[in-house]
Amino acid sequence: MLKGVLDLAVLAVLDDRDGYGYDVVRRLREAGLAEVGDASVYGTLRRLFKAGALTSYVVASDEGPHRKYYGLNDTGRRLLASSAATWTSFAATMDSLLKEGPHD
Amino acid sequence: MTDHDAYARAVREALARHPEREELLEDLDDHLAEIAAESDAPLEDRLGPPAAYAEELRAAYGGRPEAGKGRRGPREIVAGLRARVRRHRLYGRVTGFLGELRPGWWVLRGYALAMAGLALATGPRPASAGTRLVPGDAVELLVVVAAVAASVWFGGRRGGWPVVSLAVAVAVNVVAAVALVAGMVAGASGPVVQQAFAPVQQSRQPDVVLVGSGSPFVGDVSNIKPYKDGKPLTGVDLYDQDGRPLVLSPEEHGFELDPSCGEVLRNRYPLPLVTVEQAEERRLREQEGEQADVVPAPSACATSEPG
Repeated sequence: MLKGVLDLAVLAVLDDRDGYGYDVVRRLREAGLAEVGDASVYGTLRRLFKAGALTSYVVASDEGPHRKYYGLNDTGRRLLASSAATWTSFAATMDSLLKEGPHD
Repeated sequence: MTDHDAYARAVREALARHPEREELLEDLDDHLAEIAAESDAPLEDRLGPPAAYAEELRAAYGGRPEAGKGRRGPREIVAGLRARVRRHRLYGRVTGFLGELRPGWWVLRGYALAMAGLALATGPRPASAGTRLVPGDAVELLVVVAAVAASVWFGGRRGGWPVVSLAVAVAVNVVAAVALVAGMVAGASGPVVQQAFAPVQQSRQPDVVLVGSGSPFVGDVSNIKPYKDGKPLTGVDLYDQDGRPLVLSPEEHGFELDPSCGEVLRNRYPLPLVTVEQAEERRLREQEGEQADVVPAPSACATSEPG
């Protein structure tokens, strides 16, 4: 996966709604990122949290262990917005490149 | 202990030296427990080996610059030290000097590899031949020249080596260095080996063949006792294939030819040997004129008389 894309994907998933580690992994996979590694997601969550982009809170669960939920704070939302803009322009560039390419 | 406890511990151990381990692994246990609860399959089957998991974690957490305003990791420390060493005045001088030595090494390398290759190609040689350090004939000389030329050519090629070739080049250099050192060691002990094992091979052919001197195999032989049909023989003269007398050096083992036997043939066995002390004693007695009452040693001079 492209460098930095996982950050954007995790931010986007959490912008939708808060989630705990394995929940984020599952939602990314359901969204189509089938190959995403559990450790990569967990590491990314911890890094974004440390960078101040995420809030976290622990919720007791009736089955199984406590769950630490992550959600976006203002910093996280700004980061998401700027990353999304970068990604969109990058994707558009790639799109047009690929469209031009083979038909010349 | 549950599966995910063991897995979490292994991951922690793998990240033992990570500077932000606690922050990184804060809720790893809960996270792994969550995954474990979902299926009965062992975590290792689903997540891969703990070491790989830890490496992926490390990469995702610390792989990008925005993550790390924390302490310096071991890699940064090593990189810093390296930069300092490179900046040092001596570093430039040493690397410059080593650079000048390189062509010399190319020549040596080719030579060492060629001689090692020739030694392998011709198979094991009799120990008596010693270790070969120089080409023996025109063909070998040609091989050596070609190897040196090739080595210099390879050395002169710069850049553009794929990683695999680089690894091969390093391996070849190591082999050459080992061959060179082995050759030098063999060269240092070469003459001794030749003398010990093969006096015959010396350029100046000696008149007698010295047996049992210095060789580890026959070093303890101070006398030879021939037998036939279980009976000891005396007065047996021994020669080698070329008719040269086979001679021992009992003096190296603390023996002497019995002085009371007069002239004895050195290759007529068994030798009438006495210890150095006995020999001394006998010489004294002879000087004092004592004769008839002295009984010579049992081995003694009978061998030199017809009998």
